[in-house]
Amino acid sequence: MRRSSWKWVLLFLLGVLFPFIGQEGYLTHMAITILIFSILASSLNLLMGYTGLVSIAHGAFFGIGAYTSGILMMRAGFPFLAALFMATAFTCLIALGLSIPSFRTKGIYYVIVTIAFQLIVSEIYDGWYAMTGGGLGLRGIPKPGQISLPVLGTLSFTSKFSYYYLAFIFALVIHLGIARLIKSPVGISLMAIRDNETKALMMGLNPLAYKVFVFVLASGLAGLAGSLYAHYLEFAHPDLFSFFVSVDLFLMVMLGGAGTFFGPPFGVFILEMIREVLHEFVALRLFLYGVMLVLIIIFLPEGLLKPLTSLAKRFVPGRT
Amino acid sequence: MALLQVQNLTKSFGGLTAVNKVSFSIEEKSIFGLIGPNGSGKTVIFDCITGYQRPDQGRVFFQDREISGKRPNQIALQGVGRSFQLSGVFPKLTVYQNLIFSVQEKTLGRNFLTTLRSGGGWLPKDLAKRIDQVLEFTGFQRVREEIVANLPYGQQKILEFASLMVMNPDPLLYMLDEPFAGLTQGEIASYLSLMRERREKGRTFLLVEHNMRALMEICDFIVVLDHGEKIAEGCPEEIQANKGVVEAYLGHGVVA
Repeated sequence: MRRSSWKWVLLFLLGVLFPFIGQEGYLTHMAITILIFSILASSLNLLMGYTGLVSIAHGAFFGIGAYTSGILMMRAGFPFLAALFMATAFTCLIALGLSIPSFRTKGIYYVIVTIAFQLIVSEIYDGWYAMTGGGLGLRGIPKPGQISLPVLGTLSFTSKFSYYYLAFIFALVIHLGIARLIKSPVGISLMAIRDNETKALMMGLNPLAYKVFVFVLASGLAGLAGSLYAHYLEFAHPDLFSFFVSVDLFLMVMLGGAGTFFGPPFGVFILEMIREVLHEFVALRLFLYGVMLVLIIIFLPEGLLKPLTSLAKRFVPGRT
Repeated sequence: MALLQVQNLTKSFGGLTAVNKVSFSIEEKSIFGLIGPNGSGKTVIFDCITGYQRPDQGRVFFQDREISGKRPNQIALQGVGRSFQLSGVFPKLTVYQNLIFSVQEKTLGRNFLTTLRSGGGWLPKDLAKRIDQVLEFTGFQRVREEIVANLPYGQQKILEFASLMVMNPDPLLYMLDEPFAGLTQGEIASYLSLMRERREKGRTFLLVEHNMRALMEICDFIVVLDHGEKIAEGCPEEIQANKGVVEAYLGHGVVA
């Protein structure tokens, strides 16, 4: 085994063994949150970092997955995996519907369309009382109990300890998939569109097809993360999927480094830590977010991870 | 046989007629030059041929099939490769990734299937070998992992040509928009040697260029445009002797 792969093995082991450290406590809760948000940030990174499409609607798609999954399980009696699947598919469908008109616009106008979509959807979460519970939120979404799987038998995910593994497996599989996608011909095509769309078009590629594909994929993943989140919290509320959540996700991607594979999950980690430290000072937190966003855009357009790793390499000699 | 035929091409923007009833045809395996002062409609003709803009009137045939009205990606897939006036590369990708993009399939469906099937090691051996040959031939082997934005401007333009050389499908017609602008003499020489290699393989060229010395040296046939109209055509010697051409470039009453 090559030397560099050891650190991935260690990271993987830490991931697998973490619940034994956190048990049913707050640490495990945070880890689950970070895992779910890493799916969100990495899927948004496919849009922002690899295709150059800034979307401020990711929170909305996160919510569509959460509400759909919760409502299907509560009101229609779907089992958990079916609800998760249907929620993901439904989110994809909405994303497809949005992407076709929105890709007629470009650049900043496209960003405005996504913001408008986010605000409309937020309003629906708040206003469609009969379906979403409005400002009171959707209460009593069941935890996934009793999932029958072919090899493992019947599993229950009602404890934090076990839910952690559910989130871990989803996050792991999705990240492996994304890693594979960005090295594939599709990934290179996406980056080509980001760098020079006209040239890509003139070389025989249809940019619209790729943009719709990646938008639907990323939004679908956000929907899946929403489903995981809703069944974990047993609750859905408009504030959890608001415009500000979309901005948070944007910040996470920028902070870690848009267009890098490990950047966005790292950004999630950093931002969650800051959120913890500044738990008591809500106003200060928003202020700090704002300052951070400005500083990153001016001084660290590549995000935090790249400069930090090169700094670490300088102080830890003999390693590559 | 004519590879490309342009018939009565007309394109206006608002009240301005950028191209007015221009016709020409390009013989297979020739090097065809399109010249004219700034604003004479050369780039608009390029855009109309490649489908980036839709002509108001007139038709374009490639290999005797009509391509006017088709989308740029469809036209490219029929075998038309185009380079850009300002650099047409993918600046944040590496040299190698630029060539991979060129060589790979362009349709989403096929690419997605490849992704599902083989992931990282998807590049077929013959294509990898083709890229390596071109890297070696063009001298980019040393910088293959370099981000393209870090290369000098001239090198980027040469890379753009190299990426057309490996393009899938292999272009029969190379449309080069001011390939030598901003290049040093040495870079022009290596650009020309790449063009020569392609020409020996039977490829056809359509050039827009202001560097007259290079152009006269290399072209078989030249069309001169002024204010969107064709004012002269012929072999380089005829063009150099044409009084109207000199006037269009330098104004009246001047003898070059």
